[in-house]
Amino acid sequence: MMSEKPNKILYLTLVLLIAGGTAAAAIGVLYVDPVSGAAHDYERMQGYAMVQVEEPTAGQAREVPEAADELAAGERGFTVGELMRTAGIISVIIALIILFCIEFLFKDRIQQLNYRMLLLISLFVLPGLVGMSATSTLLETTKSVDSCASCHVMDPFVEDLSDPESTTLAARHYKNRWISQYQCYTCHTTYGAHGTFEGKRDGFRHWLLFVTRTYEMPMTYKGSYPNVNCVDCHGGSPGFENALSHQALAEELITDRVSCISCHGPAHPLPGERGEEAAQRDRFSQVHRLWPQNDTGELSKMLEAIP
Amino acid sequence: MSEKAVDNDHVYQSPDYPREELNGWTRRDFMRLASLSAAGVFTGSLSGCGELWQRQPVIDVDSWHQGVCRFCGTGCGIQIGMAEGRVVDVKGDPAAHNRGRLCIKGILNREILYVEDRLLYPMVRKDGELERATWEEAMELIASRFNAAIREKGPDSVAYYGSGQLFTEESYSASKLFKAGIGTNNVDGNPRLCMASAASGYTSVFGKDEPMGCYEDIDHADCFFITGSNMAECHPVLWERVLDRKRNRPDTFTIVVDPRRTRTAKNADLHLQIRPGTDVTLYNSMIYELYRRELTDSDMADNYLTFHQEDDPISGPDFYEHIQAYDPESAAPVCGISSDQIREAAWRFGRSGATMSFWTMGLNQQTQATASNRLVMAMHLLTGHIGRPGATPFSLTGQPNAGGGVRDTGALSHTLPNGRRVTSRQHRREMEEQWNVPDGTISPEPGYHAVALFEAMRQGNVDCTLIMATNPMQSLPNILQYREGMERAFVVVADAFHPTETTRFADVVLPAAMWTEKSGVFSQSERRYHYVPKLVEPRGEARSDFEIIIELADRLGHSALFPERTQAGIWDEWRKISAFSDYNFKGITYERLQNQPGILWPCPDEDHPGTCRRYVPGEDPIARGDDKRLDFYGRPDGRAVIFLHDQEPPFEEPDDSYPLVLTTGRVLEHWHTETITRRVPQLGVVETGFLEVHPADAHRFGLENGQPVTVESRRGEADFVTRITNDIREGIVFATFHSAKNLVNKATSDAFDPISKQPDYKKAAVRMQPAGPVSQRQS
Repeated sequence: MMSEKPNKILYLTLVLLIAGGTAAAAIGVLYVDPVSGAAHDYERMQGYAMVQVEEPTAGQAREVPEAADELAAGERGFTVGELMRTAGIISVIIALIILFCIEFLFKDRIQQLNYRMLLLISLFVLPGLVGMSATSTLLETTKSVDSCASCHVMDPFVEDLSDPESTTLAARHYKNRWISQYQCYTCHTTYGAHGTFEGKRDGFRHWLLFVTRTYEMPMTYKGSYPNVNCVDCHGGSPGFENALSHQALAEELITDRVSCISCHGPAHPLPGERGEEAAQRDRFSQVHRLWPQNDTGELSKMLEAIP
Repeated sequence: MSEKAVDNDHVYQSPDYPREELNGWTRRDFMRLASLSAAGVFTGSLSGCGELWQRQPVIDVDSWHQGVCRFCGTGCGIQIGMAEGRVVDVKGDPAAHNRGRLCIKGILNREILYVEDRLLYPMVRKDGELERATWEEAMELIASRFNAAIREKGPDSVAYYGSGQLFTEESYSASKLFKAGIGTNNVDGNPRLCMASAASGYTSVFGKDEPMGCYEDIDHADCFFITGSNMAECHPVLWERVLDRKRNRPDTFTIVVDPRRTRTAKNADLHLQIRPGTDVTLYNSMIYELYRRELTDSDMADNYLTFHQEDDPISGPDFYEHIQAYDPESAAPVCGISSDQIREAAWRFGRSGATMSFWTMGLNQQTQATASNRLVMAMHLLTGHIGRPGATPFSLTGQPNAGGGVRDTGALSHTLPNGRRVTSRQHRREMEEQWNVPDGTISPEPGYHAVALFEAMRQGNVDCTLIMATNPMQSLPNILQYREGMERAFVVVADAFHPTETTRFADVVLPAAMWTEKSGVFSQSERRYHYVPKLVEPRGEARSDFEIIIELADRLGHSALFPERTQAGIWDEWRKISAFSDYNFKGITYERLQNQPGILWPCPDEDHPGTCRRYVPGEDPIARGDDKRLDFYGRPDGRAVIFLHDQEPPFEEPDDSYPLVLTTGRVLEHWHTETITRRVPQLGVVETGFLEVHPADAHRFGLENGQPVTVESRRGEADFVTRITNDIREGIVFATFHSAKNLVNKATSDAFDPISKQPDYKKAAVRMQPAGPVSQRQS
């Protein structure tokens, strides 16, 4: 019970933990992208606004700006979420190894105090770390579009994002990569801790309504949309600032008494455009595109060609 | 814990222990309530408990109601939020054609009822001053003056000047009162200044007024030809739909014809910055090019078209010969653009899968406006870009009810309801039967059109005029000349606001209810009839224009014309009358309109969904011949007419004394004469008293940006603030007609189109000179 080896094991464990923590911190300092997704998008938007000659025309707006060639925030290095997830996995492994060692390999050769300390580390300290890791991973992964798409009621909204025909605000931002990642989350949560709270509150409410089947169709946006979500990116651009309508409505926009979407919407497909009606519209536009110019004779043939 | 609680209970319930009582409550009850209210205050401070569960609206609304915007001819569907009997919020109706979108004016509908200067009681001019009067006093005065004038000088000595801002029931009733009651065709209105040329264009080409296409065509067009229209500012919600089409089909090509590089033109793929008034040359040249590139549709020419020179038929080859003088090389110097631009425009127009044209005041307010309208329609007819989804000529209207209220009800000096004409004995007879008045009641003589009416007032031929919901002393051209007539005649003005440029000259001013203070049917550019509900009581003593018209009818002894004294009754009468015409909208009932965001006519019965594309067999219930592409049933031979027109010189050429051309227009944030929008506090920051000047002209006339400038024409002068911009052609200056402080219409000309009688606001010859130093504020 008094041998030196167990002490060494304890010290070794502590050294390993400290080294691991330092390594994680180093990775964090050196490799994690210091620019958050939203801030990165803001920079790109600003750069984009500056290269516009005057007001962006519809033609110009479709061109992907040069800045888009750069890697998006998530592609440049680790994100905090990924780092925390890795740390969590490593912590689980270390905790299991420690437990295995002190219970099966060194149990009778280890001091009681050391045994208890290692037990404390592996049963409480490391699992605590795992808990933090799991929480942050959960917080991060629920920001993704895939996470929102996991409920089928969201299908029309998520499908609309990549619909080449769609002109909703969400689709235009998504298809043109004006927002690089977490597209749903970026527009639906305000920045800062308050925004995170709102985001989680809404997500939790949606989940609760979904699992209890107590939601109402068609789905509508509840409350007033916070314009700060739009203005955070668009706010400084000349296109925004020079618009007389924006100047006239400045106070109304700041207080959310008028939503940006009032003029620039709709943000998502409207109730009548989700589902069957939308499918019919698509079919019609396909017919129209195939319609031979100035020749109505072949219309029926074209109609048959469409599945 | 539980033991303690039990103990406490025991203590409180013990009769031996002194009980603490507060108004009969035990201490425990009080503490419980106090802690609960503390919790309530705490959560309340987090902007309400609801915020913890879901996002809350910033504006509390008790109920939402379907309605229509008060402003332009786009006619956006809106939802009106009410709280405590007031309009507190307005948002776009997602179910309407605008898909929930509104422009700034649409949003600010929520303010317009509560702005300053609402007229709250009748006023009568006594000793040169307008003084408060009772309704009885005012109406008695009006009736006695109208009766006296009719008795002494005949029915043509009185007149009505209406507006595309009244509800259909109101315009219809006023027109009926004057034409079938008093017996004069002196019924006109501000649509004469706005849409008369489009109406005469449609009527002469298709036999019937009103566009044949609809807004949905925008979603299918591959080429937009926008001429004489700054859609991005004047019909912004519709323009957004055009941009949507470009967004989902990037090949879509947009051509804009405008002497200014407007916000619309900046977004165009091809901008033809022509000299003002050279439209006829441009379209003729494009038609030349359409023939040369064989982009014309021979099936159309063979089976659906005839060719006319004025009223005389000519042959297709005659027309082709005539067009030969307009090759792009000859046309280019006239229009002031390159021949390549003309060729490109024609190619794009003809070669696209479906081409849609838009136009508005730039085309309509010209001395050759009807000709320009006809030629744009001719381009569609000759190429077959018509009657298919996305292929249509489409005129935009400027007011919320110019089409349905004035054009369809025949509330103009030369028309009768549903496209009938006062000069046609058969048409007069039909309406006399419908209105149940004796044969010969309706005068066969057309009345005074807008400009002629105010000239007649000046000349002393019209003694009494009723003006409703419009501001002609600002919106008429060459207004200085007509002020004299306004002072001479007995003028009654019914308006929601005072003062305006027009109420200043009135002898009686009647306070009118506006927008949701009254209910009724509006229509917009695409033949959609839709309903505005009454949601609030009128301010002060204001009454609806309908009530004013009915009371005037009573006092003039024409009660029998209005057996149904309610608006609902009048609407039923009107829709049933329409069934005897090609406008048939008998199926559009109040009940349907109250439950959906509007219906497009023709709509012959209550199960009919409405008609998007007119003259198309299978879509239009009136069109016949299932094997035909089109049925122009408005024409006796079922064929549309291509008119031959030559470019004519402008009514006045710029010369050494007046070297510049003054043209007029609008900005997005204000509307018409700013009677409403200038009073909305939020819109105060948007200036409208500017004059756009090309840098070279500014240099020539010694002007700096922000400098006061006087613009002078042969008719009058107006002051503005210089705004130097490259967006305008050299030699042209631009001002809005919004500002009452900088009345541009003191300088514009009252020369008008000989067919439509619509004045030309777009090219007055002017000169300008600095009117003072640059002020600190403006620089």
